[in-house]
Amino acid sequence: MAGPKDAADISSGVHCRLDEILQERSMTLTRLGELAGVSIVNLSVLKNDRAKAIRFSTLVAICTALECGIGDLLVLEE
Amino acid sequence: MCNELETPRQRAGHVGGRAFLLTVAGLAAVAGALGLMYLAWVTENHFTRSFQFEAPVVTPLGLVPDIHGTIGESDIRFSSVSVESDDPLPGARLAIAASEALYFLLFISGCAAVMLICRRLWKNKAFTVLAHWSLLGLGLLAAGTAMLSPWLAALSANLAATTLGVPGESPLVPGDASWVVTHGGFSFQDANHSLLALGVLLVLLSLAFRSGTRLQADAEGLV
Repeated sequence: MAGPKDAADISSGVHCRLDEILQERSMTLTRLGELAGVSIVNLSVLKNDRAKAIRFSTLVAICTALECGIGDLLVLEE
Repeated sequence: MCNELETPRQRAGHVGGRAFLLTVAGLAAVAGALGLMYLAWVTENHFTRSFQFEAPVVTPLGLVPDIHGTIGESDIRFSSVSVESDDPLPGARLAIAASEALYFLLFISGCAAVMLICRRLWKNKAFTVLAHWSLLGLGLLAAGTAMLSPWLAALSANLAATTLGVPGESPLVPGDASWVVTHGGFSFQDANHSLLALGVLLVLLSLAFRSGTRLQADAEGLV
């Protein structure tokens, strides 16, 4: 979907710790998608730091499903 | 629409865009109202005035048509003639060819634009710069065809009549001589107004596509 300027070249500056949190809770991406009502595709985009923007509703749904805060999920890239 | 973060150029663009939209909307409102009034008037005429129709007539060469209805009352007049010639008539032929070519070109361009947009829709990315320019070009071509094609057709008839020496005005000494009425000048009244309206609509749609392109780009990577 993206053009030549892919996410690899454009970093949003925000790192999503979805992978780490899922491992801590021994939860799969599929299960998270079911709990949060978010598609696997979008979760994968988030997990791989390819997202450029996130809706508040999506953010709240994921954090509620993972029982974590927004600051636990999203951190600034070093 | 405007906000404090816009550059002066963006602001000027927005103001110009609003002015254009207001002008077009105003003209459309006036034209629509006039169209409605004209429709009512024409419909009223159909049911209240004498009924007229045109049909091709076949007569022996050199014979003036003499046709009478046998049922009811009718008045039959012939108001047009068909002039045919094998002479080169380059100007007239070129004008009529250009007049008809414009419609073909419009149709072909429309098909190309349809294919382009379908391809983009297939890729789930309808709003592209190419689609915007295609619609804009198509709209301008439609508007140009609407105004130029009827004029070229009239010009063709005028050139042919002049070249062939077909009388184009009443004789100096009034008599039984007939003449044809042709004109080579441009008249907005002769334009294809439906096609012109469609052309304007396509131009407006192309502007919407341009906005859609920006929105689509903003939405990429949004979860």
